[in-house]
Amino acid sequence: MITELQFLLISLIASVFHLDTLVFGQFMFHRPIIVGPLIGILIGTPQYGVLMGCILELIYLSLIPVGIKVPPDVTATTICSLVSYKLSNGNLFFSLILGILLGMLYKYIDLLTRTLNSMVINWVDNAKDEVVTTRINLLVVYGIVSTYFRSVLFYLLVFPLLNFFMKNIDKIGLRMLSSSELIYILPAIGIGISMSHFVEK
Amino acid sequence: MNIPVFFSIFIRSLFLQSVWNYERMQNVGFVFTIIPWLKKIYGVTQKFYERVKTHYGFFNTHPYLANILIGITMRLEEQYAKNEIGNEEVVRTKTILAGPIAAIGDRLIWSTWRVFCGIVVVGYFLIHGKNFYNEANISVGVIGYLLLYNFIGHLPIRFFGLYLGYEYSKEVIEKLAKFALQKIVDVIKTAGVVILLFIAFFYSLSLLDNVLLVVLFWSNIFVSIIFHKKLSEMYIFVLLLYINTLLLFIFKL
Repeated sequence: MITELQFLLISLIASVFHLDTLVFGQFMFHRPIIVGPLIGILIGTPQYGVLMGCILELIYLSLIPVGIKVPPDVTATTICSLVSYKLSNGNLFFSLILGILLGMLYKYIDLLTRTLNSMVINWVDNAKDEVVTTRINLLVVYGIVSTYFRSVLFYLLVFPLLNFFMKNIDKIGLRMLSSSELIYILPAIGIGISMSHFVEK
Repeated sequence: MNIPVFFSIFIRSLFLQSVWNYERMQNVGFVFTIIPWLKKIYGVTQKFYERVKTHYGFFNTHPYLANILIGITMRLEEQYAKNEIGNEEVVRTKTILAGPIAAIGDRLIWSTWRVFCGIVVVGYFLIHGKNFYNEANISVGVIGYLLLYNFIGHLPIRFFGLYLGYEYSKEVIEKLAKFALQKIVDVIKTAGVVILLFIAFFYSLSLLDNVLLVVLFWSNIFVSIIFHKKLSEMYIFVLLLYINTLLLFIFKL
């Protein structure tokens, strides 16, 4: 069970982690292994956060943002998987599938924002000399603010849907597909992928 | 070098990708970073605005190693102000070096250092066995990861990159070549594989009370390694997630 206040808190705090993905610093606060446990603490089950963080960190380790190639959003995937896992009382299979899909959706929203940015930057080209630096500073502020509120809005729209879906998962007979033993096996996929990444490339 | 200006540029460089766009990529962040330096050289004059607009063109490189190029540009701007070089050389150097620096950054940071740090911290958690999520100390893992990644790799690269770029200008590339970066990458990758094998072995020991799980665990490692040559990480994960769920469902029946 997650309360409305917790949903709001997660949206506000998770969106700070999204700033770290691109617009500020890239200190890796946005990685699953950091986001998972911290959001886990917020929803009262840090151990779920560590579980999701470890599984997803290993899978997403070798996905690299090179040039214009943007991988699915790891932060959105982790947070949505974690929230789904808590709401469904441990349905790992559906939590991860939903998390991955929503991470891909967030990626497309991110791509749209980058396209929009291409239009916004022309604001400086047309500026008179005296206001050029002011406009550049404002563009940086715009980058931060738009990223933050885009993420807040994303979570505020997605969480009620996840809440509805996960609460009704028993009614559509999908719970039987979830197995608690899955937890023990999934780190192996990430270990294999990471090993292959280090050996091949 | 003026220390407050240097720190101002260092802090501003953290916003390099704040308005990343498809047309000119990191141009807004780059010019935002270098504004204090241009102001120091030219004051708030017509020339200053002219230089700001010059640097508003296309720019894209690795966000951490960009500081090397920012340092180089700072030195070149100084020389340009003294009429020692032309505008074309400033812009050309920036454009020519951005590609190789991005390639070094992608290989050294994204593909090696970040992956290695991730493996170390996940290794710390998984070494606690199959109930790692209950038994491991969260703060050790989380804080340890951030300290390791940022204070050994990330921040020193940004800080000294800026300093070295300014100090040695274009010669910094030769200095970097002497560092034998490929050897560093190879050592980190070898250490990463050893740690992964170590984690896999000790983690699977904790599954020994159920032989089926041990078999599935090692099968997943081998299948992931084989599939990774042909499929992307996401496809492998989703595919194996389905297969494992189905197998466990069948074995339970």
